[in-house]
Amino acid sequence: MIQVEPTGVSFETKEDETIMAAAIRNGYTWPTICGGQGTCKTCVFLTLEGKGNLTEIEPWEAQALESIVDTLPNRGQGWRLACQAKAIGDVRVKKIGVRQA
Amino acid sequence: MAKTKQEMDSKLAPGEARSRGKQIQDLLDEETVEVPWQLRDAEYTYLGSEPLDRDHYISQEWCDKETENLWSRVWQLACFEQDIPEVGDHIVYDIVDWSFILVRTEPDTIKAFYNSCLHRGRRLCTNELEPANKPEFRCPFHGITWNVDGSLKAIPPSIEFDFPHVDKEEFGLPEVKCERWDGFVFINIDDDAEPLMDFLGDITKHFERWPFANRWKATHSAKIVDSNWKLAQEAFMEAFHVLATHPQMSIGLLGGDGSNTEYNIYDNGDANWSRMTMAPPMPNPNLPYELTEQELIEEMFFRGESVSEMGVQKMAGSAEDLPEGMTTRKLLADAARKNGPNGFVGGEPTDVELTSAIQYHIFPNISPWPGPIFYRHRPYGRDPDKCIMEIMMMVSLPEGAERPPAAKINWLGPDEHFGNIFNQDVENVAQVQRGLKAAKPPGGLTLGNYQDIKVRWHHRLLEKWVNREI
Repeated sequence: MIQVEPTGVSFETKEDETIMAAAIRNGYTWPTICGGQGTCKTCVFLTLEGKGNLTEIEPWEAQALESIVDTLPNRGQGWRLACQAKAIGDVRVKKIGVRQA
Repeated sequence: MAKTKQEMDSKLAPGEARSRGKQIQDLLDEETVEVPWQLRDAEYTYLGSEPLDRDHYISQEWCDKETENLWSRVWQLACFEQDIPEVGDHIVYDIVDWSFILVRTEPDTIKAFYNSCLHRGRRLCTNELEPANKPEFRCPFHGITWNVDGSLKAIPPSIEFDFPHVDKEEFGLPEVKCERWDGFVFINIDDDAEPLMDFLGDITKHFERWPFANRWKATHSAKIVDSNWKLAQEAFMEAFHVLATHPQMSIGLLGGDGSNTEYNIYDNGDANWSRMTMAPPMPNPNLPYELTEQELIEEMFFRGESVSEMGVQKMAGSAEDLPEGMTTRKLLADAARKNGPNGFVGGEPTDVELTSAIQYHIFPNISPWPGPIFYRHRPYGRDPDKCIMEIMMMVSLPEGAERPPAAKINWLGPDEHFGNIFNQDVENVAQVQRGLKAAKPPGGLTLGNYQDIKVRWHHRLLEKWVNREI
């Protein structure tokens, strides 16, 4: 189960499905410009709880996060790309702009 | 030529299509103060879709043609008046093979001389771009000396016997044309060049709103960059590279990614100046759904920062404390108003002026902003693969404040950088320079009809100069 603050939206993810893809499949918006390529970094979110329930950061995502680290509070700690990260358990995140499509 | 979907749908003529969302002129309609006419003077002309010749960037032959036909006869910025504030102050300006000494000979007179001794030709002054006060110019080779007004001061007595053929009255340093505008000092190597003000045209009227004469050159950095001078300059002639090149500037939801930038060329592209105005933070029109201003403000406070005029601004406070109907750009504009003097003349500053990066270009190689940033790009000798990139901060001072001394040039080494955003541009253009050489011939470049118009404008004028059509 993914819970998204501040709207409180929640949805389930399928195995091997990114958080952004799961949100859209469940009828919610998730900000993106590149459509999930890991290039625009618009989908970046902050993990509030359940960091250990997200898949490991692969090199492509790590490079993307590094390129915007200066704009992320807390030096990027806890921030992930929704188009790359997948959940293997319950996670609570914060992302502005996620709501009923 | 392939058409965009928008062009096919609406049968727009080439160059008429625009990105989604509000345009700069729409934002000006929403201003609550009088909009200066300069911002409404927003011409654009479609100049065709022909491929751009990559030789302009990589060919030694083209580079030599620029030297012979452009730099030899175009008006070019040599220095600022404030670089040489006192009588006797001088500064050296180098361009390709040439070198000139700019010197203040009287309180309100600046002259420019060829920086070459009339005896054996040695450069008289070698302190490149370093202002210094000297009572004379003495050649380090044999000691022949000129006064700062260019007249011969002395041939040393020990060697004077050997120059009976020299008419001392006629042995002054040759001058190069030197004219001034708004605190800028220009030179022109062509003795028959048109007056500077004719060359500049109406940009001088635009900058009556944002004058330079009273600004302070607070910083001046220079770096030798591994690209042609035009490539480095063109990093600032379009803004739609921001999304890919500077992801930290767009901060996703907030726009600021270069979309909706307004591009202006004047007199059907014949004017020697152009402009672009980047849209301020507003709901990013490229999202697959419409974001509300309230969500945008929440994002700004959540991230703790936002983007304004090429920089990240730290945001304090919270979204809950704001009055209803507040927008991010209004918020940023109000913050900028509190930041102190902006130097604008004639009427209250508009939100667009305070939150958008407005960049002018004067052909061939300088970029004055209404804001503090200023660029100059020069070739590095006759090497087409290198250039000298300079960034200056031209700061407006509070009324009545005394201007501190102008910053001296600070040369950055190979491992030193202008800053994060500029460094991304520097890395980019070096890769473009290499990529242009890697292209399959003829390798013509495909430009956008609207968003690349300043690039096309610049090369169109350049071709006219190189071909001596101007």
